[in-house]
Amino acid sequence: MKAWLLGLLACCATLAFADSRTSGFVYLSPQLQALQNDPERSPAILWQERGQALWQGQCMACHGQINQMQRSAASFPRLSADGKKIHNLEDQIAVCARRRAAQAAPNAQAKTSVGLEEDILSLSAALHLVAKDQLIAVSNTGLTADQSAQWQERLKNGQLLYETRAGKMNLACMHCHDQKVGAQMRADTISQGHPTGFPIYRMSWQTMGTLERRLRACYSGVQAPLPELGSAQLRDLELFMKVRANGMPLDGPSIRR
Amino acid sequence: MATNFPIRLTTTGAVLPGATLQAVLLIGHPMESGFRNLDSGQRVPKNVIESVVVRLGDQIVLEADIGIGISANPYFAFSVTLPAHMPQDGWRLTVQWVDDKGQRGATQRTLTV
Repeated sequence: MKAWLLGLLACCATLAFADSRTSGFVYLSPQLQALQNDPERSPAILWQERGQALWQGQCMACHGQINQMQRSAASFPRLSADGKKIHNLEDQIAVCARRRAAQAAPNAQAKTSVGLEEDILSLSAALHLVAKDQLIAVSNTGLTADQSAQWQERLKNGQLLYETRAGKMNLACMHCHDQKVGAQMRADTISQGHPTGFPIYRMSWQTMGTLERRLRACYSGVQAPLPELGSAQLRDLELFMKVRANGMPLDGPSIRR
Repeated sequence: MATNFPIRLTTTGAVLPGATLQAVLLIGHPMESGFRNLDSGQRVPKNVIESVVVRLGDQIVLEADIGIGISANPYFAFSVTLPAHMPQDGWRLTVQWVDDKGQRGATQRTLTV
């Protein structure tokens, strides 16, 4: 009887925890929420449509229709094929694009990084659009024991980064996004920091950006040295954040302040 | 959205003679003010849309002379009142824009009852 009650309590606690997690969407102003919910007017559609066109031209031959890729965005980041790094969806698109370019024209000059970046962002937006409402499911299932240990190591490092104070402000992620949720920071409301809406069209950027870019903005906010783009530090943190948000539905490309 | 300038023109409301529609125009353009620097310190050259013209048939619906005060990927919402008589193959709502580098973009929509 006691064990049964304890089990019930644990179950309730888990449910309550699940319910208390919210997407960054709820911290937006009603106007921005309306903008995000209107697919005809959201500026994100410019990237989504471009991504869909790129998919038709470059990805469909191997991967099939984009609608079949619903689970893709929800399952990244993953351990890279060589097991050394964590790859997010954008990394994977870049790997694919480079391999494809090398096969098509081994001696041709590689596409400029700016053009490639914009392509990757567009494809990521299109893939996140089809993954809307899919539950985030980042795990180490299907990995070998060695890889799994590696994955756990990266996850642990991500959690460490989440909890480590940084910068002149001497703040860790958790000090705001766990302990000060809902408080005002300048004109913005502090969110729970769940990566459900990426890539985002951020009004202050006036463009679309990835989670990586947003994380760097946070580092800048606490006046800490910015981690390099594509660094293991950012990937580990992203892995931890996605695992922290496991089971939450993706919002698709979103609007943020 | 520096490459290939996507553009979207949508209308809401029933297309009927004499009706007023709500139109939304979204242009993918960087709208660089010319005051921004890259992390490397390099100045980003100015590149903004200077003129947007929306026409219904030959009639000008909206004419905007814009500049650096407009943010990237400009969004215009405006109303269009349709005349009492529909031309044979519907009304043609056309958009043309030109920026300070002479780059142009256009789109059109045919509105039929």
